[in-house]
Amino acid sequence: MPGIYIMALITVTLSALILGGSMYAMFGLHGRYLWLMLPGLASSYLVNVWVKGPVARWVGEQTGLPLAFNFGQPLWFLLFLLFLAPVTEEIIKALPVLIPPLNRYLDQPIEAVRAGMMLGISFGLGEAIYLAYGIAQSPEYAGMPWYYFGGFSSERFVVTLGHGALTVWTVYGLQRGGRWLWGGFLISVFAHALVNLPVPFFQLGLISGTATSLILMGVIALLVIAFERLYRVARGKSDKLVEDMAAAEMIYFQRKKME
Amino acid sequence: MSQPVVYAPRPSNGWMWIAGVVVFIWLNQLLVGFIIANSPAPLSTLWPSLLINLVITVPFIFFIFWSRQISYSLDNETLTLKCGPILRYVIPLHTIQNVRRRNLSISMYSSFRFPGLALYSCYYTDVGTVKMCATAAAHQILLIETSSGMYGITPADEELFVADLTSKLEV
Repeated sequence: MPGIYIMALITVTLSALILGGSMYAMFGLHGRYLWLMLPGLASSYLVNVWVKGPVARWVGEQTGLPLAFNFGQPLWFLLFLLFLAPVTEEIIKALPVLIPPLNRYLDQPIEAVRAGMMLGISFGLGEAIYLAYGIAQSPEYAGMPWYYFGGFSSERFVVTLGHGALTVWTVYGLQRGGRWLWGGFLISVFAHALVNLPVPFFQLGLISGTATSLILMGVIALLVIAFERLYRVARGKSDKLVEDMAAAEMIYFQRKKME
Repeated sequence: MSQPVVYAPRPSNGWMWIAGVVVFIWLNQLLVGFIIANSPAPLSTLWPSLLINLVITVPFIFFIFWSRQISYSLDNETLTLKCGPILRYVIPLHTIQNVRRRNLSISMYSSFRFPGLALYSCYYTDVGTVKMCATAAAHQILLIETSSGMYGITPADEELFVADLTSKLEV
């Protein structure tokens, strides 16, 4: 068995436990959100094989342009390559929440944010498996032992969290409606493009591999901070918090205000 | 001043998470060492990561012991929260505004928080920043709100602790 599969198994298990556990604690110990780590597991495979791949190949064939970032490409084609993954992936990540019975997660803003995070994590876990499959097909990597893929593991863990922090905006937009409907989706797409941007920069030779990783980590850290802010806003906008742990508060002492 | 009464925290295995982090870091180091030993690279390339891991994990090893020394002492004037020699919050009783117990909603970032252990200032999405000295990260935290900030603790005998504390507050 190629070593990457062993590392992918370790990565997916640890990521699911750590990220799932953190969200479980953050979301008030509600197990029902944990199920949302399942619907997106196959999404990465589906969107890559059935959507991104065929669309990119078709555009490439029609224009005669190679599917790679280089300085000779027209700007519109570079933008197409940059935004293809964000647009298609952000749609498929949020899609399950539109399908009954999962659409009940759109009842309250806070539920939408929680559901968005879990669906994004689900996609990220599936993407780790899909990428591992791709790496295993490469003769260059197929014979390597599993412990050579430590970089794959840490990068996938962070990116999985990033996927969650991106999807919350689209799902929140779906719940809020109106201007948020497109606004949330556009935030997800542009932020996703920003996360991906260092990779073409690296391919163009503009930045080093280390800088690529650092920028990726930095952007995802900012996304997590933005997620926290959105989480607080969504909490404030939710009129039904009866299931929240805070409901079980016991006041022992309250100092009387001085007259 | 009266003799302070000392209260123990709820039992917890939170220290095991710190131990887990230490073990994880050194297993990782072992793996890197194994890879380098089986490659043409000289073993001296291990020194930087060895040094970094030592700097990170030695304080953690001390934390494992100190995190088991949490205590709360109460006298007529102050409530003191302690965790070994690394944490000490002194709360004058006259600054306490309210005391309540609740579950908190954790955030993704905090200074020092694991399941079963929370120390220093930790941010919670529902109540904001809380100075923690507790053997739980978010579950059943006794919150003490003062004029200068909020503190979170987990006394083992909460009923007794709250009775003693409120009796002094209501004087």
